[in-house]
Amino acid sequence: MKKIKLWLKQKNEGSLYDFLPSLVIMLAVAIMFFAFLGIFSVVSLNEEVKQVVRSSMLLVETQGYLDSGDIAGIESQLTALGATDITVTVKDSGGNVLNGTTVAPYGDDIYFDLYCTIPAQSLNQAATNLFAMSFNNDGYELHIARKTISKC
Amino acid sequence: MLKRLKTFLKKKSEGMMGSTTAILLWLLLILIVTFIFMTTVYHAVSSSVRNALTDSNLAVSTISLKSFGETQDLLVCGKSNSMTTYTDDHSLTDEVYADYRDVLVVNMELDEAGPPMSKTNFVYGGAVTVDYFIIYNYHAEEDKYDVFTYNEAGFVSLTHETGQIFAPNGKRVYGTSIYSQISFPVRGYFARSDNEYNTYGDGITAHIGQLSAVTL
Repeated sequence: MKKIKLWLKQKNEGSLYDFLPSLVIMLAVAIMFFAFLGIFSVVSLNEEVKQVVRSSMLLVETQGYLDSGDIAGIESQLTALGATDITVTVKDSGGNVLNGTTVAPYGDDIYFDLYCTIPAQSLNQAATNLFAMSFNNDGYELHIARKTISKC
Repeated sequence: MLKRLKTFLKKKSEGMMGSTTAILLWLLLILIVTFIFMTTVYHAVSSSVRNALTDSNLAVSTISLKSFGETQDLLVCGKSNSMTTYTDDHSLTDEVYADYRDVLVVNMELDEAGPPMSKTNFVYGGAVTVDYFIIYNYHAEEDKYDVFTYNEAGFVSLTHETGQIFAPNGKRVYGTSIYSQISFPVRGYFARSDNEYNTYGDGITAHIGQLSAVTL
């Protein structure tokens, strides 16, 4: 009886020491894996959005404005990528909206701003600490700012 | 007694070995996952910087419209000199470099304009420096390039080149082009803070360059 008790006790201790560290580290690896997946989807979508921005920058440069039809075209391309809450603004250095009635002449600065929300399980990450992160399911807000010089 | 002790020792050492190996394997896995993660982040940063550089190169590619009308050559010069005839004088292109710096601040979402242009997040460690800003102005008739080189300090040199020429990143230059290369300190594996970065001073510096052809 005593022997069995001793055996049981030993067995318990051994298994605890064997599994506890593994469990803790397994949890850490799982968290890191999900963090990695979340960041990866944001990164790849971000790239695709920037491609759309590149093509619209060429349009802005060559014609000096974006009218409502051009903006609707950009919005439909971004919607196809799954983005929501899209706002596109094109302004000159004085803050005037360049919409076709106002056109930036050759050599003028043009400021292009795109705000949208891309669907992603994103991570809130503190600026200085890699491990200070938390999950966020309501998408990732993206702001892409570009400045160019009119060539129209 | 001795037998018992032996069994005990054997058992003990076996258990220790098992858990130690397990922990080491898990730590190795963590290192691998972190490595893949950071590699992905660095790749993303690199491609987004390339994107910003290309956008900035193309944004400042204002040409002399007057010379274009006369010779059909695309010759880059400052936006306020578009109606003057191009000459190989750096006073015409200084404005291009000034514009480039302004545009880069917006396109890379840098924290401050003017030297030092800086950005801080968990990858960027500090100030962004312009290594090279080179304008290759191609004259089709004489088949020669006017090469204006700028760096962080401003204008460096004007040279005239013929034949095959290459940008500092090894890419061949075809026709009028703009090459720009910037460098910035990168935070290492576990995104150390600025203070640590300055104390150890052994950080990595990223150099990223992009050649963009100027076309109509």
